Amino acid sequence: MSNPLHDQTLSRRGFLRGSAALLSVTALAACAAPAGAPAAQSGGEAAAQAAAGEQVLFWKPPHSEREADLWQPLLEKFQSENAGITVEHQVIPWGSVDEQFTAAFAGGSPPDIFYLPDEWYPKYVNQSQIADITDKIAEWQGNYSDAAWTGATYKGSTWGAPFLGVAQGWVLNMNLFNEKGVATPTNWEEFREAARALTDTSAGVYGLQAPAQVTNWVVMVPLLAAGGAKLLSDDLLTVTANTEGGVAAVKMLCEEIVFTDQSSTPVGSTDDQLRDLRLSGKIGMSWEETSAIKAVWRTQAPDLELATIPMLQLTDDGKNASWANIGFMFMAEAAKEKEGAFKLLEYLATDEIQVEYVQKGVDLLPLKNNIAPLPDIDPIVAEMVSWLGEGYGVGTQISIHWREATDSLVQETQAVLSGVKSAQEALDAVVATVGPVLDGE
Amino acid sequence: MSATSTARVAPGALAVPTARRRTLRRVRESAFWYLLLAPSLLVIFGFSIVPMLWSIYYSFTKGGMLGKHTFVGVDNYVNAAQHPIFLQTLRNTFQYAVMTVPTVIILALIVSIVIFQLPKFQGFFRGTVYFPLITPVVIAANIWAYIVNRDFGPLNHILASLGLARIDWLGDPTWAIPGIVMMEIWRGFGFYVIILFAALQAIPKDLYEAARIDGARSLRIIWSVTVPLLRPALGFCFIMATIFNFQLFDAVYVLTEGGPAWKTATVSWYVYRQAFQSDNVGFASTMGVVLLVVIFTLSLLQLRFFRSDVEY
Repeated sequence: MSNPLHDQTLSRRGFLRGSAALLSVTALAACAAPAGAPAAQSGGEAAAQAAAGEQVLFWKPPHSEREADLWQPLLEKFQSENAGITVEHQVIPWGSVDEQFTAAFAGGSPPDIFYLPDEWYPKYVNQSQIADITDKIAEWQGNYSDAAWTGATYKGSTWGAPFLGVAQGWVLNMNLFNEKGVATPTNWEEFREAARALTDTSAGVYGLQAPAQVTNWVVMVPLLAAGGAKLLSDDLLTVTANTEGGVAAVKMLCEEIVFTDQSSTPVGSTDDQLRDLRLSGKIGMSWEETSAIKAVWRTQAPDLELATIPMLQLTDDGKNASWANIGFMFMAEAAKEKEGAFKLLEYLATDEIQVEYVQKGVDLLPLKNNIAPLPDIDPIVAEMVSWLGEGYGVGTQISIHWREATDSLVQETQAVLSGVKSAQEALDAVVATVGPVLDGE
Repeated sequence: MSATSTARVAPGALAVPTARRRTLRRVRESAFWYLLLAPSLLVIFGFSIVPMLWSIYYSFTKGGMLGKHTFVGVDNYVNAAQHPIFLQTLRNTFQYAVMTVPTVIILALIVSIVIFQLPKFQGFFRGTVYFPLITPVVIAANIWAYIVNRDFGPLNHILASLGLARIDWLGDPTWAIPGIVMMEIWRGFGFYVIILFAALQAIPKDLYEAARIDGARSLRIIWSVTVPLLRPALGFCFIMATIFNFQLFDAVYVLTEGGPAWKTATVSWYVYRQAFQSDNVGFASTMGVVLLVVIFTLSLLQLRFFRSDVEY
C-alpha cells in the first residue's frame, strides 16, 4: 500500500520556498523576543553601566511574610543617598535557594549581594562564587562579637558581613500547662512527665512536637550539647555525636519521650498540620525561633500564654543549650570590582539596618556590639537572647559537609522516633554514613 | 524520434545509478517533512541527548556544579555499589515500583472496563478519574497528608472503626512507602484508564457477540477476548508506568523528604540531594546512570514480553 505522503514529490523550488519560510519565521521570532526584567549586571559590565547608573542585584530569602515591604523603604533610602545606584531586590524562597543560587552562578548572572545562613555558604566558597572580602572589611571586626566574626571565617578568610542571628528554644503553651496543673520543667524527669501529662491523643492534644521535620537538626544539635556532645569534632574530621552523653540525650527525647511514651505529635505530621496544632493551642512544647514569637504566635494566637526554656542539661558534662546560628551578607566574586555592590554591603552593615530590619522588622538578633535591645522587646525573645550571654548557644560548625551530616542525623533520628533503631544504633549509623566523606575541607 | 538507445549494456551497469537516483528522490520527497521535524529534534537533542551524554561523562568524574571535574574512572560506580544510602534508595525505588505499577494498571483496567459498560455518562466518569492527575502534586500531597494523618485522618478513622490500630502512615518506616504508593495510585490511574478505554473502543464488537453465542460469560469474555486484544495497550501502560514510577521524586520531596529513616528516599530524590545540596555532581550522575540502565533494561524486557501476535 503506497504512503500518500510519499506520493507528494517536492521540487527544488518548493524546497527552497519552504526553507525560506522557516528561516523567516525563526528570524522574526528572534527579533520579537520580549524584553525581560533588567538583567543582573555584575563585574566587568560596571563600566558600561556607568553612564546609565549602576544596577545592583540583591537577593535575600525571607525572614518575614512582609519581606519585600520591610526592605522597600530601606533600599529607597540607600538609593536616594547613592545617586546612580539602583538596587533590584528579590525575595528568594527558602525551598529553592540551592537551585536558584546554583543556576544564577552557573549562568554567570549571580546576585551582586546576597544573604545566606552559615550552613549554606561553604559550598559556594568552594565553588569560588563568593568574594573574599577579608581586606575590605577587616576593620569591621571590632564591631561584632567573636562568635559572629568566627562564623564568617572559613579556610582562613572572611567571606561575609555578619547580618543577623537566630535563637531557638522550647516555647511552652502555658494555657495547657495551667489547665493540667503541670509546672514548668526544670530537669529531664519533669520534662518527660510534663509531656506525658499534657498528651491526650483522643482530643488531639500533644505534650510535645516531635522533632521530626527536615530541619530537625536545630533541635538535635542542642540536644547533643545537653549530653555534652557535638555533631562533628572541632577539626571537622570525625563524627562525635555517638558519645555516651550524646546517646543518652537522643535516647531520652526521641526514644523514651516520643516513641515509648507516645507523648508527641505523629512523626508523619506535615509542617502545615503542626502549625495548625501549635496555633490552636494543641501542643504543649514546641521548638521555636525568636522571629516567630511576635510575627506568628502573638498575632495568630494572642490568647495563648507563653513561656520558654532551653534544652535542659542532661549529663554532667552537658549544658543547657539553645540553637543559635548566624546569617551573613555576601558579595559575589563576579561583583567584587563593582563599587555599588560594596556600597550596598556597607549600608547593610549599618546600625540602622540592624535596628530597622533585624530588630524591629523580623525580631531576630542584631550582631553588632553596640545595638541595645528594643524597649518593647517581647519577654520570650528577651529570655532566648539572654541565653546566648550565658553560653547556651550552639549552632552550625562551618563545613562543606555540615548539611550532609545534619541530613544523616535527621534521618537517623526519625528511625529512633519511629522505634526502628535505638539511639546508639542511630548515632553509630551517622558515624558510618558521614565519617567517610569528612575530609577536613 | 525515439531517444531510446539500442546499444547493449552490461546487466549491472545501470543498477547503481538507478538505486542512487531512487534514494535521492526519496530523500528529496521526505526532506520537507524532516525540515518540519528539525526544531523538535533540535530540542530533544539539546535538552535530552546532550545532557544525558554529559551526565554519563560526569559519572566518571568527581566535582561539583561549578568548577573543575577530576576524572576518577569507575570509582564512583564502586562507591555506589557499597554506598548504604544509595543501596537503600534502590531498594525503596524497586519496592515502590513493584507495589505501584501492577496495582495501578490492574485498577485502571477494571475501571476502564466498568466505564465501558456504562450506557451513559462515560465521559463524565472518565473526566472524574482523570481529575487527580491534573491536580498539582503539592496540593495533592497536602490533601493526602491530611487523609492519612494518624490521629485525625479519615483513613485511620476507618481503620479504627474496623477495630484495627491507627497507623502513622508517613511517620512509620514500615508504612511510609505504602502511604505514598496509595497516593500515587490515586493520582495516576486515571491516565491509564483513558488509554485502556480508547483501546477497548477499538475492539470489534462482533468478537464479543461471537463469544456470547459460544456461551462465554462476562468474566470469560474479559479474560479470553478483552485482555488479549488489549495487550499492546497494556504493554504501553506497563512501560510508561515503570518509567514514571521508577523516577518518583515529587511526592517524596513534598511529603517525607526521604524519611522516616531513609525509608521513602528514592534514587531520583537522592540524586537531587547529592547534586544540589551536597554539590556532589559526579556521584549524583553515577546514580542517575544506574537508574537509566535499570529503567532501560526493564522497558526492553516489557517490550519483548508484550509484543503482540494477535491480529483481528
